[in-house]
Amino acid sequence: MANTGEPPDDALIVDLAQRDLGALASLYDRYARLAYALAYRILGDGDSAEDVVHDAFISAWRGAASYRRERGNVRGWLLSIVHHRAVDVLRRKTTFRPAPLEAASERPSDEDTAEAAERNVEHQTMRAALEALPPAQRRTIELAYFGGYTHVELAELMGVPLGTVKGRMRIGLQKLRRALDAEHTVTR
Amino acid sequence: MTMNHVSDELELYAVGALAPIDTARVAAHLTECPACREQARAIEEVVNALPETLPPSEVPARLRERILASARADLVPVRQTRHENTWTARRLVQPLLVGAAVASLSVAVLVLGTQNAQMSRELAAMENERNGYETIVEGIRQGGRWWYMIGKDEWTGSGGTLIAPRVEGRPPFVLFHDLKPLPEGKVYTIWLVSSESMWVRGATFRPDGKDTQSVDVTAPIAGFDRCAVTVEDSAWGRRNGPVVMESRIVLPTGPQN
Repeated sequence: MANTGEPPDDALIVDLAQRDLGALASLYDRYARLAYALAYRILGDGDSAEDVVHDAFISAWRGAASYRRERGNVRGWLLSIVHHRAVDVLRRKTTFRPAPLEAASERPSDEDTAEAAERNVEHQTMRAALEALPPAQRRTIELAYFGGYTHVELAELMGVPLGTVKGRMRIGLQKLRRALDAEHTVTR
Repeated sequence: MTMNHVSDELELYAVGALAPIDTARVAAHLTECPACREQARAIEEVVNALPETLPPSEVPARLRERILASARADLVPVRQTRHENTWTARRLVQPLLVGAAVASLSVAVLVLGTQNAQMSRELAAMENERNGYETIVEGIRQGGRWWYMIGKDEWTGSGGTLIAPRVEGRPPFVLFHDLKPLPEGKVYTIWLVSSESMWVRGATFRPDGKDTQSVDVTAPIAGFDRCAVTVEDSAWGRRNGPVVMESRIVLPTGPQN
């Protein structure tokens, strides 16, 4: 959390559990853009993305008392709520027939991805690390996380065994882990 | 007691690429296994950084006020029910919670200054879904076991979670979502199936048309190894109709952690 002078996330979540609307507003101001970008990327539709983000923040508001720090930070907790709900909506909407690979990798929010990401200095490391992955690993991660595909669907879609999907996912995420660790070492 | 670790599935779990039943199994394991939980936490940290690769988006300006209005409207009913956290109380007050939620939604809609019926319906659906999740979470928090039944064929998109609360005197129940309506004269039946293929009727019901529906199972689930839901012509007699969803159910034989 980069906002100096602002209360840390952990303090906000304590206040949120006490039903403090100010804490909810602060968390929203901090993470709404990221949450909305994620929901929009998954659903490709502004109205649905808005509904998902609304629902996720209200879910956090009501479930703040169940948040456990040892399970991950507040940002990750919020984003995982957004992700689960968005994928759930996507699957219900589409009855989840896998789309062709090309179509799936060109969802609307992919437009101008590189150019827009350049503006977002804070996130360049992760973006660069993702782009540096071999295409098959990158596509596996993106289609699963942003496309909502299960590993069985991915195996079918990409024409590879389940073990290959699992392996690509594991190795790809390990590489991203190393990139994140390197960034933390530099900024420390 | 032998523990089957889930390290091999943690990446898929973190990105949401497991089937619902496997997701539930891995989640259940993580509540019991600190080693796998630590690995999962590290992987989730990477996965949760993935949204950072996205281009920044313009968030609709109205969304902030919409969320705050919903939270504001939510304040009173939640305060009134916060002390109610036993299983019995939860089940008993569920209709009251739903009523309070409906009232909250009405206020929220007024605050937003909109008469948009569609928005109201969507909010009500979300509220309903939230109550469903809350019921499942409460069952698990009480140390219960649960199994997800995924809809088959025409029932794809429907599902039900069989929950066996580990609280004496509390019956098992199934929380369904998105149940298809049935023609007049047809009923859904929940069956418990033994390893000898003996089918015992656990409940018979009609869909109530809501997004989620809770149905108590009148037979104990111990001794059965499968739960299935069929569509029948009659509320009694042998099973004749097609299975629309099912799950294996295995209760632990030893003491639970």
